[in-house]
Amino acid sequence: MSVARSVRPTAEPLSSRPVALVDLLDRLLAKGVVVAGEVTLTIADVELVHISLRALITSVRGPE
Amino acid sequence: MAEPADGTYLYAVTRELDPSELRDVRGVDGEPPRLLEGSGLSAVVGSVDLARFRRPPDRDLGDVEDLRSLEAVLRAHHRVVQAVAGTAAVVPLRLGTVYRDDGRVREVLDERRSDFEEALSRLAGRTEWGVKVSAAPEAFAADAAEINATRVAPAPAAPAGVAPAAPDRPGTEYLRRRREDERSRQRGWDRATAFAEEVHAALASVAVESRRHTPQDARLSGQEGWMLLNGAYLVDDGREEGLLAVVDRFHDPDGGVRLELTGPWAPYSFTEAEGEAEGGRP
Repeated sequence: MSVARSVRPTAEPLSSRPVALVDLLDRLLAKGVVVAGEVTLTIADVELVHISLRALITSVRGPE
Repeated sequence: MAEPADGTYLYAVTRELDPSELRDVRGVDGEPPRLLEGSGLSAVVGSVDLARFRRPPDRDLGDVEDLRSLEAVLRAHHRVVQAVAGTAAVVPLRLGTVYRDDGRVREVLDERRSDFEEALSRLAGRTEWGVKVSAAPEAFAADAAEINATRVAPAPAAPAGVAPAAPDRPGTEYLRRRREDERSRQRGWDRATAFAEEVHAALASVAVESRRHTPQDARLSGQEGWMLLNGAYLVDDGREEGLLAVVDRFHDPDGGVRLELTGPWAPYSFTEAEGEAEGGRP
């Protein structure tokens, strides 16, 4: 599980860094779409995914 | 024991992709992604078992095992798209774009051919980069002179009818301080958002297109302080140095301001032409 890290921008090659899930979410669930699919999947529900991942990350890090 | 695949998952649309680029990746259902040709375009698709991705509407994704598999799905989708983006112009599709069968995908390629072609031409030779700006609130707190002024001076512009603070009225003094703190916080926030606008404008000036995503939930990002900017920038390949220079210029960890660069990304944030999409705010 990778978590967003604050790294000096040019400190290491970007391609070697793990992609943070939260950055992925911004993009994979972005509003701009060329076409809509015809089958609705639970995993494409933005709200639900965010709520669920919040729970996941809390369970990984422990309560804050 | 494999269930029959009953859906065609569409990852991306591209053209002139060597199928061997997909040899080493597996899709969201563990399936080998494949190319579907049609209308001069190539759809990157996978055959998936829909039952795996659907659940009863009354059930949320509360179970950690479910969430693990959700993360696996997100990452698998991303790997497929990135594998394509590494070698060809690509229009990434939103997570979970699924059709009944290959024939429906071909129909979509045909119906939307001009949109896909426009997008591929616009995105070819360009790469998306992400820049996140976060700051400690103190970084934008009032400067020393301003702090002094508010501490020494009586409440400026107290509303009519409100008695000025007096040492023998501790309650009034408390309220006055509260108002001052609130105003001070507001001024700090205003300075911070103005700074974010400045950074975004500088980044956008070296990009072909730019988008602002909603600032990330602190519980998801693990970031402390304020998230001021969550930007995406489409940059011509070979001109990344310009973007990096801007990031370096504003990155000031000692001063409480952090810029984080992410990428290279497939152009997820730019599948719609500028103007079609709102700036990314909800």
